[in-house]
Amino acid sequence: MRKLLCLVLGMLFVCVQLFAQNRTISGTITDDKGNPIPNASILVKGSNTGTTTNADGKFTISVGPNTRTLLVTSVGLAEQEVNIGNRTTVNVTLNAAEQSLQEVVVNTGYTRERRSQFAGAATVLSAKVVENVPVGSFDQALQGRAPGMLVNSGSGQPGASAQITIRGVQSIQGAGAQPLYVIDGVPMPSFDMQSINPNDFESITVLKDASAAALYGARGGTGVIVITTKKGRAGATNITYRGQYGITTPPNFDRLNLMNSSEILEYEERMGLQGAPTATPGWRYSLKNPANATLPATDANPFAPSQARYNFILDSLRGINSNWRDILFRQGTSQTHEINLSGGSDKTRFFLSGSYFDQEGIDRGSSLTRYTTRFNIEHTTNKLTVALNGTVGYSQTRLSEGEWLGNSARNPFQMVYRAKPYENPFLADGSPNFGASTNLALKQVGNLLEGIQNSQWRQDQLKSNAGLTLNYELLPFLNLRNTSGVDLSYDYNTRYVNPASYIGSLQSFQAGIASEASRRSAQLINTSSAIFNKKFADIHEVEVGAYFEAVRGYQRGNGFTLYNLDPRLTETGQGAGTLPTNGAATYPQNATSAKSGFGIRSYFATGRYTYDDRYTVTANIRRDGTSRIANDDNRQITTWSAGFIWNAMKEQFLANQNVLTDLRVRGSYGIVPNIGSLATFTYGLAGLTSITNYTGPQIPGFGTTTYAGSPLTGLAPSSPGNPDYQIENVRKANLGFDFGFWKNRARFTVDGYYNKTVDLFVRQNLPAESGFASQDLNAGVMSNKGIEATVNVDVVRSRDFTLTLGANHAYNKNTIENLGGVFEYVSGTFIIREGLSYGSHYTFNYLGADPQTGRPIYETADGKTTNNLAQAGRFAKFGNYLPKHVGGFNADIRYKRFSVSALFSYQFDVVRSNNTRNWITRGTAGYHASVNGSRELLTNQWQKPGDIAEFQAVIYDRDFTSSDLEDAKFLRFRNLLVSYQVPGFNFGNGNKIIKGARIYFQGQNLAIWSPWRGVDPEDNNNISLNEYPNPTMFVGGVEINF
Amino acid sequence: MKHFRLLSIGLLLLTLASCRKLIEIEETDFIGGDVALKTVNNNEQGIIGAYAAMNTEMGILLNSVMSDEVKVGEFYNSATVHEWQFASTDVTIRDNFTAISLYYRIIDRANRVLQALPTAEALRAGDEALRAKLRGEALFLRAFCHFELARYYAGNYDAAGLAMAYMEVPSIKPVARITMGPYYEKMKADMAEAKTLLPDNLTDIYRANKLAVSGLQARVALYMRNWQDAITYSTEYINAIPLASRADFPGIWTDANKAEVAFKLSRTPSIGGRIGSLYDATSASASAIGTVTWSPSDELYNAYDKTNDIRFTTYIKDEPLLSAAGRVSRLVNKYAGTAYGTPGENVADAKVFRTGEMILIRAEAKAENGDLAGAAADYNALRNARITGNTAVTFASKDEAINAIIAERFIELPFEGHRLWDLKRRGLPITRLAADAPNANATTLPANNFRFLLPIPQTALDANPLTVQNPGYER
Repeated sequence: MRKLLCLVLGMLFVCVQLFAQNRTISGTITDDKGNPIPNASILVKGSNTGTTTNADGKFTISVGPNTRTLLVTSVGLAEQEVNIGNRTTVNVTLNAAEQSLQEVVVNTGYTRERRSQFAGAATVLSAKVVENVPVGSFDQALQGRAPGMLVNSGSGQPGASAQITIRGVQSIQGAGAQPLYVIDGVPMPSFDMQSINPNDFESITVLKDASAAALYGARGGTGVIVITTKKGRAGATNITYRGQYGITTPPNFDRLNLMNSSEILEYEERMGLQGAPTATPGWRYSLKNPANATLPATDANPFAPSQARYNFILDSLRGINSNWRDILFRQGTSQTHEINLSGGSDKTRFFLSGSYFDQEGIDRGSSLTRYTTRFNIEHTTNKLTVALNGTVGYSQTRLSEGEWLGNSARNPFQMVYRAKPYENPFLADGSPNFGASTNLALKQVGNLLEGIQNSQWRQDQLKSNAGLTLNYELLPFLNLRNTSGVDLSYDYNTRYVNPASYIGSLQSFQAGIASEASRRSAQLINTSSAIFNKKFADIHEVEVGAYFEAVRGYQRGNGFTLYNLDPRLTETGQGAGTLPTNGAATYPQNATSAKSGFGIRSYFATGRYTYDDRYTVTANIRRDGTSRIANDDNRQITTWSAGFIWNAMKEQFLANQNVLTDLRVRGSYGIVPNIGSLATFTYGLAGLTSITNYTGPQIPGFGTTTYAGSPLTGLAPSSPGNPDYQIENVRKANLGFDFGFWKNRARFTVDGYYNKTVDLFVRQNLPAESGFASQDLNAGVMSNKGIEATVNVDVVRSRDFTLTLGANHAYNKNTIENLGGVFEYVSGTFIIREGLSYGSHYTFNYLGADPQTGRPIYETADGKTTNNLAQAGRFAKFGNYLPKHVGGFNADIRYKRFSVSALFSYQFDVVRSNNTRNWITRGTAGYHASVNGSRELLTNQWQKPGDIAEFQAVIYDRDFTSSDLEDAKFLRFRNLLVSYQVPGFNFGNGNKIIKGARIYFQGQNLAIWSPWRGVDPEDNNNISLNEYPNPTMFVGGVEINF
Repeated sequence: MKHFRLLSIGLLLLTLASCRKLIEIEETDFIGGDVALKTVNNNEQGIIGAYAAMNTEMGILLNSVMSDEVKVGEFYNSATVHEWQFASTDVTIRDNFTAISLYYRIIDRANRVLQALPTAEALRAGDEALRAKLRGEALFLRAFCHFELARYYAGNYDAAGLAMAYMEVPSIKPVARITMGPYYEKMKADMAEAKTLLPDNLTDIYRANKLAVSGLQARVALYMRNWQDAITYSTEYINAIPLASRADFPGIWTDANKAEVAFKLSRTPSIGGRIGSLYDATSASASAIGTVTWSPSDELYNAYDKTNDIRFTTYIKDEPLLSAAGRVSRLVNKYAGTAYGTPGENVADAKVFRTGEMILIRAEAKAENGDLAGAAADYNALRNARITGNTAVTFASKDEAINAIIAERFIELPFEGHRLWDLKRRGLPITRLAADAPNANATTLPANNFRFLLPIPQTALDANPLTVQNPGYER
């Protein structure tokens, strides 16, 4: 293999010696009506050399002596290949887009493939889906856009990434593994999107099958998202300003149907009367409480206990009714400003941008501020093309501490249903009423607000992603290419609690806390390739590529925690005092550091043969090696893929019909290792961030332990290590059809797939004699079968009015085929069992309250009923938290200069565990001493024999059961964009001041329809309890082209 | 273009240089694999890790709950064990008495040290001596744990009977049970070698020493009915550590002194758990004493000379605060620790070997060897040390001697994890007074009943196709 490498690189040297004269070609591009087409793209076929037409449709381009073909494209028009021969003037007429969308080029990150020759399953999204969408992490905007791609938001924190699953969960151990993101050939971590400006994107391509993702090998096991950024075009320099301002509002919490003050006080009294007294005001001050039977009617001292006094207290509490949505959350503002410049000459083209993004979250402590720059420069000299694409971004994220605390009275997303509405969290002066909280004098929300005011948790990220690509046309049919890329993030995480605050007094050593952690992670990539591309006898087109690729990852970080802070200062460790040792001989370190790294080495070759533009076959073979496998014998793996495509429209028998305007049949099969399945360990850094240990689970691990009989810290094996560890493989088969009717105004794509994961990691019990309980071994098989369809119809397509309707839908069926000897095991709230799908809920079947006794009724394993949870069976018949059906539909309407786009997304056949609902309908005194209740308790809880009620009597508990599992299907009005295209204008001297502009209004998450009785049915996991919900956003903006 | 050329050369070199190493990058910061036990000092940490898992509490509780030492107090759990109804899937067998997991975990820790120790780096003066000592400790712990496993899962000593797997190297592969002959030989070899390596002093009784090995050897010999060895080894122990005086005796249990004890496991409020909580929960205060789970049986309570026997007041307490409240008032006092509601409540070191046990081992062995006078001498010596005004006895027959010695073991060693095993190895039934039994069906477990051997937990059987279940539990 080293020989091949040397050959490739050797050729690179040779090539620099070869030069020849360029020539200049100019011309005009017009449409079929003779109108000049501005911004049409002219590309030298097989290279990156290109330019664009100016406002008058004219272009000039410098091409090499061997250039024979230009590729002319323009949005909405059919692509055309023009044989230039020896001409220096080339005028081209582009026809209306009979096949325009089908002929879009698929950018695989390594190559650009014409649709008619691309055998894989890929969805190409235009920049429009992310442009100007007011979300901090662009992946949140992808929901409902690409079939087969499940995009679920796990957090409404500005800048939080979405959870993306392409074609189902393919691994148990790597169930959450995210697809590989690649920007202009340089990979980027999925969780750094808060520092990237999606307005720089030109297109987003989702690669879904083995053939499409073959170039990525193990890194592409769960799919690849290829991002191509905007490039400059020769011609006049374009300057664009974008500005946006808007608001972010909390969601509607009415779905929770919570009790108001008088209702919860009534319920508290009911709990007392039903034999489950609580120390809450509704019972404590109730005159029906036997403890108050001897109270005097009145008392001379107005504050002494008396019937009148208690009634007065209850009356006062009833009158409070705090609106938690308004108190806990805010209406945040969001704004962006951006300038980009693009242009260039025929030799050098550039796209530069700088942007500012600022968004406040609905949580009072959360926000994202981002500054980004991008510099894309491309230079062509003769046969050499050099392209530098890079971005540097800096983001400051203020994280919601409540979300991080999770199950805590300081989490506003929990307190919105826990806090009793009769708590008044403010003092008379409007400041939070904080301090020790009791049921009779609640200060929980006061403490929460004081906590937000006096604590700060921030992540500052300096992000860079850049790549340099050199392409040398050694021979007209042989290109040598090298891409070197660096992806770098430097994160600085801080968490401070003000020492001079109440919350600060609750920390260890009673005076605040300061934790800081920094992490530097870098990923370097170098890809060298030689690509042969030649057409023989005009009908045989061959492309063969040989690649060598090296990926190296580094992580390094440190973290520390300081206590006993200086009360004069906030948000710093300066002035921190000493710490007591309490007589201990040693003192634990409050600081730590760690580093790690990995490498991937790949050799691969691709081949494509096309006959007469009708039949194309493709093949790929590769050998990947990675240090992430500890055992040398399993480190390297050889995989392959193959595909075909039949472009039926080129067949004679379809030449003389005008029903079908496009028909292609695609098939592919291949094996893709999934590096995301490899388990890792982490080294924590001050609890704020962590460093990844890539091979930890494969090597015998040790933890520390203590024995009181020795001052030494004990070392105890924590994991046995697995020397047989190897990577999971996914065998992916895909069959797809693309067809178009009605002059291609109706376009369809249908794909069916069958993916089978083998060597699936399965948790197996170890012999007790080993001293360990269980271990993940490569022993199982899992399958995903599904079908995806996309349809787009241009219902109306005229000069002044266009209406396009689009829809996409995907169905995925996951099956755990084999667990390799283990029958089943429970994982969280769901069960891993052969024959079931991954994520099947597993719990007790709750059948309501026993009409006679009010006790809960459960189903037993043998189908009978019982009131005793210990005798109840657990069942896996309640559905799955991963939706089977996912899709979206959109409408784009343009009338003259006005346009409206609407996007709806939906999911169904999905059941999630609604823990929020469990809490607010639990009904027991224990729960409702500190949790507000759902109004359903008032009407649907057993109180006396004969009651037919869903919820058991107050004195019994029903635990977590099937009654918490709810249908989480939803239809979401995801996005609405209304815009007006402002014409250019000038000051009369002929120089345009503004070439054009656009004014728009955009709304995100405008409405949701769902039977779910929680805050938001959408989430990235199986349980809902404390999530930061998706906010609703409204923005208005302008885009001005100078 | 010169720059491009340079750049290309640079890239070429970079690529080639990183090529081979790229897939051989190791984690540098991970305390695992070969790194974890790299030095002798690290191996000492590994041994501390083994001590950290050491546990006599499980055996103490099982011996109480399954035998006639205790009766149900205010909260009844482990009913299937107390009433001898358990199966291999029983939750109590799986969760409370999984000796198979506990002891093989310690054995694995010891084996990892034994594996790493020969090549471990000696970085400090004295490391070579430490290396030998650590090997001795690992061998001792390995023998100790294998003996415990045999007590739980194997029958009375019979060279051809089935023992467990004797693990000598760390392994996650399925492994078969072997017979008791080779099993006990391996155990004896481990003990013999450990004895040559361990310190011959009692400076640190929280870790193994030579006398701890003598104690274990005596105990193992007793179970093997190798009477001469039992006499030899127990004599070594007794000669080095005499019986405690009456004045010192209570201090053994409050850890005020180290009398009689060659080896015990250190327990503090924060590390190691509270032995006393096996019998009754910790208290909020003297007026809110914790729930009494297990109370001394009437049979045991009445077996003492309540006035003159120091063991009665040391082991058992009839708490007036509880009887005044109408609660179960007879408490196991052996591990009471500090006062109710204080941090040290129920905290006491776990004594592993004690002279009281050794002298009764020797008495039993002498009686079995026909030395009735010698047996009586040991028996009387113990009772003289415990009971004021004790009257010496003589034994007329071996049976009389054995009965007296077993009865004395009942009152000398309760709540120390011996009773069930004593009845098992002597082929005696478990009999409870009607007042001590939770119900009429739980008064007698016939001698040699299959339940004297615990079942291999079903999960362990499932995970190890080579192992076999004990008789009576097959499904």
